[in-house]
Amino acid sequence: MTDEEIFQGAIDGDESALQELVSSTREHVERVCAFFLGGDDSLPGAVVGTYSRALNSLGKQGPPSIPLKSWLSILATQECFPTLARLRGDYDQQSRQLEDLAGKIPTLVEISSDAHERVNFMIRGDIEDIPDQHRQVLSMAELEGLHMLELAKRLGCSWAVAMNRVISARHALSRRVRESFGL
Amino acid sequence: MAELSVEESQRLARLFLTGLASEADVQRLSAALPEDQTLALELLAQVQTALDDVAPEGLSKDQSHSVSARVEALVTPRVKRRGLFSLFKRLFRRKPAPAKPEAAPEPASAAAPLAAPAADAGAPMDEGAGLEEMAPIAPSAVDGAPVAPPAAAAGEPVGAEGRQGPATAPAPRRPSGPQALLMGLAALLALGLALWGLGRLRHDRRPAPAPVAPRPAPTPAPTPKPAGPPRRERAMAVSGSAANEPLPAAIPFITPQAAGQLP
Repeated sequence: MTDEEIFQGAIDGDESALQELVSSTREHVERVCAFFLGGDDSLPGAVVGTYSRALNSLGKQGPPSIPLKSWLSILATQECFPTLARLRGDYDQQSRQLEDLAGKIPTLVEISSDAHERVNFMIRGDIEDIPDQHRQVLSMAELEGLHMLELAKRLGCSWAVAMNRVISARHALSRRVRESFGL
Repeated sequence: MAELSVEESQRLARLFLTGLASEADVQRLSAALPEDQTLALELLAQVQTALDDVAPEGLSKDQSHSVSARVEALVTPRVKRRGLFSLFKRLFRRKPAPAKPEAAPEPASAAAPLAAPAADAGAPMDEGAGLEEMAPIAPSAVDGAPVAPPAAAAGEPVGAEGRQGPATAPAPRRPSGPQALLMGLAALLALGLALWGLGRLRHDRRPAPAPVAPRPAPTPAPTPKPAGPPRRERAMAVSGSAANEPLPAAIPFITPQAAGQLP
């Protein structure tokens, strides 16, 4: 079946076209979603959501004017993005919490007036006291200054997993600092 | 929201994925993404490039089964049930004609498609699917033009007519609502007439009751042929019941000797 036949058949409710729409693209959609969310619990929902978007879009807007796989790549990215944005929001919120925490440590306040710099000092001071798996990630992200894409490549994981691992590592550090300073 | 320029899409995607985007950048990206296909593709391209096009691990086996079931649940309600309508459609569907370099009008076989809408349109339709389903067949019936779409001629799978095929295949004209209704009524009428005619034909061809086989009458001795007895009496002489009764001697064309041999 051509892409146009799949689109029109799916709109008409043709069973073979609908099956073809899924079977011929399932691997591709999984792959696209895996770049963003591979290894994350939200991956299955993103794959299903991509097909849900596709079927709804066909019903409401008719067939797209681009090839099937390109179209599904766009839909898959749009489906994954809310999870990425949520993780990004969690990361930003955690950054603010760490800055607040660093601002409560008198030594760090004396050393620097810059909140970000205080966090950096806090990490350096306590990084040896957190578990290994967190230490490695925190070292790359906070001390080496790798950004998320580089971190994902270095760790061989998706963007979401890289972000999750940084968040977990910072959470472990934060817990360790609170315990140390009784905060 | 208007689409972003390519440069702006690249910049926003880069900032977001590296974790360097400001709150305003993220909001702008979130607002533009649902409508901006370039932006979505840019995000994907940058992730793919960063990971050297090697996708991280995908779904586990259990997750894959679960996704299959959930996608199936999405697809199933969208499948339109094919009933009698589809059966008729398949029965009367024209076989794809071999592609001809010159579009010559089709001879007698061109009448075949006419029967298809006639039979189809009388069948009950489901969920308003009739118009779409009728479209591939109807144009030939309406326009009287030979219909041999290249896609169909190329051995397209069943049910594929009328879809957007190759660029050479003209899109089938779909009948409007009233037009489809008229076609349906005409088809129903034609079907009724055909059934009525078939019934008449069967009635006319019903064989007459088989006559009772006459018992062979005893053959009289060869006699010289008399000169012309009435035809009716001669017929009575060989008919079943009459042949079993003793013949009256007064019958003029039986000689006295022959009459004596009769039972």
